[in-house]
Amino acid sequence: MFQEAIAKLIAKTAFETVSAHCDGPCGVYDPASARIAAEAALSMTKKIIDLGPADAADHNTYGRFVAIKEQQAHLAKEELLILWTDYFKPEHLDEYPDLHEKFWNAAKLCSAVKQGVDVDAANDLMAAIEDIHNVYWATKGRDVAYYVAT
Amino acid sequence: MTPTLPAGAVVMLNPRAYRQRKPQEEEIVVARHPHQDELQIIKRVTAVVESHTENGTPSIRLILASDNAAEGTDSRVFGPVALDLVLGKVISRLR
Repeated sequence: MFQEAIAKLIAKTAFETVSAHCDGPCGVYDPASARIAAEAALSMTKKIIDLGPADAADHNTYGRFVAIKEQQAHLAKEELLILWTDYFKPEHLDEYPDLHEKFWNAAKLCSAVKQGVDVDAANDLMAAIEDIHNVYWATKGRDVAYYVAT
Repeated sequence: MTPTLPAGAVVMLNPRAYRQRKPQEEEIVVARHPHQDELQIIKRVTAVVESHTENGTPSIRLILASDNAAEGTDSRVFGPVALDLVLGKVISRLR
């Protein structure tokens, strides 16, 4: 009873759901939104490493870099989850039987990038998104070249 | 769901848990398998994805994970699970 009451309280106050670029029926999907966020998280990961052990004067910078890295990794995950759950349909599995695993692994990498300062994970995430980019545009019958901003 | 729930564990389910609110990450739920009607699965929620269908109806899908990542089947295999397949929230283990 008490636990239920607590659960209700938490549900009302601290609710976390995923809604990415368009929590609506727009029908516009593009893995680019995940790529931009992941690329930002990769960039911040590198900046954190370049900053090295922060002395007192750098603490604000360090904190800001960490905050942006986590925010962008979270956003990348949201964008991937929306693409996975909204766009892809069971019929896509015929051609891409490992589709679920691709998204699962990419989402896990987003968490790793968010939680740590891990250049390898951030690069792996970019590779996973490039893979998803290729699958996505193939299902649309379009040849769209993958690119990065930096 | 080992080690959390060994095979043969008996749990109590709240079938009304998600009438008033949405599932949350880390909760354990029982759901119908998306591709096998007769099969009920017990999994942990790792993501709650909320969106709208093309006609504007709200839609909630869950990413479900096995605690036993090496052997359990989960959303890696069967993909996202629609909320209407969820039978309830596991609230305690009886045995």
